[in-house]
Amino acid sequence: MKIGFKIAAALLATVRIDLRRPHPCAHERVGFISAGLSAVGDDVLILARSYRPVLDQDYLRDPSVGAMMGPEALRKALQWAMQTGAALFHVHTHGGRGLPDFSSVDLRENPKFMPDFCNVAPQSIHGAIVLSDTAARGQVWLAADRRHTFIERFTQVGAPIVTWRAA
Amino acid sequence: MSDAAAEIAELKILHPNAVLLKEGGNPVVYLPKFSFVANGKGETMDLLLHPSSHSGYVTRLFFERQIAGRGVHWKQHRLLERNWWVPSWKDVRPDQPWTAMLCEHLRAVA
Repeated sequence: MKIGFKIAAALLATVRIDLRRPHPCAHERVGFISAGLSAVGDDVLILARSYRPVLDQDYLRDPSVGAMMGPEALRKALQWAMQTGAALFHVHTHGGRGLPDFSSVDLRENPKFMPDFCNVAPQSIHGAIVLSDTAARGQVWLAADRRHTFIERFTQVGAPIVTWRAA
Repeated sequence: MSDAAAEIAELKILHPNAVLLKEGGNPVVYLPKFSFVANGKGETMDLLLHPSSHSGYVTRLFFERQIAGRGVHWKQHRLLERNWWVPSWKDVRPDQPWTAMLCEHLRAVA
């Protein structure tokens, strides 16, 4: 199964602008992208719909990481997934150009909270995306009890259309 | 750590997939695919623990579906954009750990 992620250029620009805003205590910002899903044979296409930033007061002060979400941030995102049935993708940026990599902290922390999204909204898949200023990479959880896989191809829909392989 | 965070941490020991959510501004615990004994048989279904007052009861436990032959006066409610079933089972105190509260509610269908 191949997994693609399609997002409007305007929405992606909004996400990048929001994630660049300074925060009073966190070194970086995070947010969540909601998406719909489309099956194409055995493949899945994720269609980004909207973006919600994590609110300033929902970060925890933790100098050991770039940004630490508090329980309210996670609770709000889980509830968004459960009540809409949408696919939800945690998103943050590492800046720079080219294909970004998840940090060791991302690789350690994402598996701790992403399966909960599969528990509350098992009809969808969920995941985490790391952006650069020109590309993105994504992890996807198909079920709470399965190891994550990766988004293979991203498409930024605008003029021009931009695509890149990420796995 | 807030009371709710401490309580959900304890519940996660019992059921690792427990998730803390809110309904009407009050904390609720979603317990997906929770396994328990009802009417002498094993059951697995989604549960929703409401550790504060709801519909005239001091705490409530909502079930994904009714359990035949157990519980009385089952009624349907809509919470978190889902329909839930709940039997009449009163006086499960809110001033006890949520794990104990859950077990007391499950006695209604045991």
